[in-house]
Amino acid sequence: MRGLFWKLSYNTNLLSGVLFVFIAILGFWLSRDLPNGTLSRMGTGYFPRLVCGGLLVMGLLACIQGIRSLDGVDEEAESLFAPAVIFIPLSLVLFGLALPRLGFVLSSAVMLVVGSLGSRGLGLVKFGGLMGALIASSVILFIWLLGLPIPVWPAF
Amino acid sequence: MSDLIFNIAMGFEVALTPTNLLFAFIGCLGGTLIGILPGIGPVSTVAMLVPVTFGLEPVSGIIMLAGIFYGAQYGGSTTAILVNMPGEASAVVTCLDGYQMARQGRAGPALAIAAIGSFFAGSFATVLIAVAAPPLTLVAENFGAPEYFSLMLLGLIGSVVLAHGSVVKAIAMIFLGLLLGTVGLDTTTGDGRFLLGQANLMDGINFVALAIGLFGLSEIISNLVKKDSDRTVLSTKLQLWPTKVDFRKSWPAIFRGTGLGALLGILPGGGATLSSFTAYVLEKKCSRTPEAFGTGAIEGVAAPESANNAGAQTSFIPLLTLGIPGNATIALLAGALTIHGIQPGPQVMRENPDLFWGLIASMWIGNLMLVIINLPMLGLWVRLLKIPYEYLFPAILLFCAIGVYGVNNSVFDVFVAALFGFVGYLFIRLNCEPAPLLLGFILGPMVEDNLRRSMLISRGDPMIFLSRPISAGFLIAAFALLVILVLPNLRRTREVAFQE
Repeated sequence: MRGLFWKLSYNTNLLSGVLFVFIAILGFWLSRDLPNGTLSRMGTGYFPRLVCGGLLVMGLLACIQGIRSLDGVDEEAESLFAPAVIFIPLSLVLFGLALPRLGFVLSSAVMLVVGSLGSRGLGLVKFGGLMGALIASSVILFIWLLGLPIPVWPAF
Repeated sequence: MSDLIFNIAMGFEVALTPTNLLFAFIGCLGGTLIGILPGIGPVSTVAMLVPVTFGLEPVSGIIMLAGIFYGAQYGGSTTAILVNMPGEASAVVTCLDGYQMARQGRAGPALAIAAIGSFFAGSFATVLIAVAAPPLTLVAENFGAPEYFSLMLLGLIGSVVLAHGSVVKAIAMIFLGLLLGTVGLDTTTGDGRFLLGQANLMDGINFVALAIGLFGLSEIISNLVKKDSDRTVLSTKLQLWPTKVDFRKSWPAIFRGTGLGALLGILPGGGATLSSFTAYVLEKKCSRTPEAFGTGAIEGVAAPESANNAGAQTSFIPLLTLGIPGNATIALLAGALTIHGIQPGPQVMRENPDLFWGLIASMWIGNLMLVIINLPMLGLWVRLLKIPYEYLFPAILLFCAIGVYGVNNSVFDVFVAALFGFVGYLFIRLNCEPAPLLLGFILGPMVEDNLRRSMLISRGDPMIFLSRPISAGFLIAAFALLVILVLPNLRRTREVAFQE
């Protein structure tokens, strides 16, 4: 059962075209208050709008290419979304949020645990050992030896 | 001629003492060991190691810096080849064929050729600086805004060649990169652009955060989504040394890459980055088997690695004569030199010739150390590939986080990297290659600056780009390249049309 939606969602030309057009319009909208200036004295907004225009044209071209090859599906049928798509970026965000308050050891542990939710995993013992070794060696190398100004432990 | 020998001899006299050699060795070893950690590129490595040199005497400090610089640079190439992670823009090209070679079990030859090519390029560029620094400086000084603009346009169009697949999407990615490059304060007027209420964005998006997100994190995600069979090294037998055929293929590429890199590196601003991109393009054009590029062609590693090193070496010319750093790493190095009491600028060559030539000699010594340290360790680096990904990716994730945070000690940069990790994965799934975006991002501010200045000079007349011969030459080359790129596409569409 390969419906229109299925075809569309694997049409990379059309999807990227739509994405580019969307970003170009967003760029135009965000730069709406920037002065344009003249060609000889370009204002702050001139170059961004020029670039957005180019992006818009290329995005539309990609859309046209995508529509013309509507039946051509050039991707192997894989699911676009897997746990790792969410968990890897999320783990970094958590690391960033936790670092100033919880220190390096705890925030790294949080990051590695959350990041590994997207993989098959190693089993508790192996993963714990790996995590301990990684964090300990990073503390020694980056904080003690190289002196990066990162707090090791929570500041209470 | 006697000047040249005298100058180089003076440099080595300053640099070659047992203590200094030891510092060069330590610097290079440290640079390699840190730089080889996946996720920690040359910029982060140099940023972390530079403070170590502050306690030393200026000459020893500079020599250690040179060691760190080359070690970090080579460490960056190593991760580009082994785990497809460029720490710096210039290593993006190395990924294209280097990583494919690694997947075929040929990481050893790729790393060896990268080291040998770098050493050859570095040695050649050292001599070139000695011969040509003074006259070449005059050429670079004569480049005006229109020439720079046209040259960068040529470089950007050239980066489209790097992307396989749709030309339209690659050009769109350049525009996206240019757009991302405008984020931050407008250097001409001081007004903010696309700040989204974030004071952290005033200096623009951090390059390291963007690169680690787009290349490193997205690669982790993509690997985790894939099935196991897709990501393990394809060949079980690991080859360590280049074969005779490899050498025969690489030598011309190393020569061409060195020549091109040395020339482009002299141009202030993005020279070293442009050189590796252009060298790859040139090599692909020269090759009798251009279709092999992107699938593990050794020339595709040899040329950009040589060009990168030659360019990095000669970009000391604009740094030392005009005070313009060619890329982020050299900018850091310039900062470190200032702390050691050397203000990069034209006065160095005139007032402190011993320091100038000592620096050039140190660069060569750093280069030599790189080969001495890394060739025996090839086997060790290659074995990194045999570690199962379940063990490897938490390490990469952690090092990425430290690498991003360590550049500016900024939590905000970590968030930016996370965002671009997601976006980068989206690009991979949409078959949009991130390399053109990155070049657009780096050159963007310079493109805009030179466009504005050109228009100011000509009072708004775009013909200025065509009326100046050098600029017109670059533009014609860019246009020709674009036509060459688009033509096969047209033909293919027509063939498809005929089949229907």
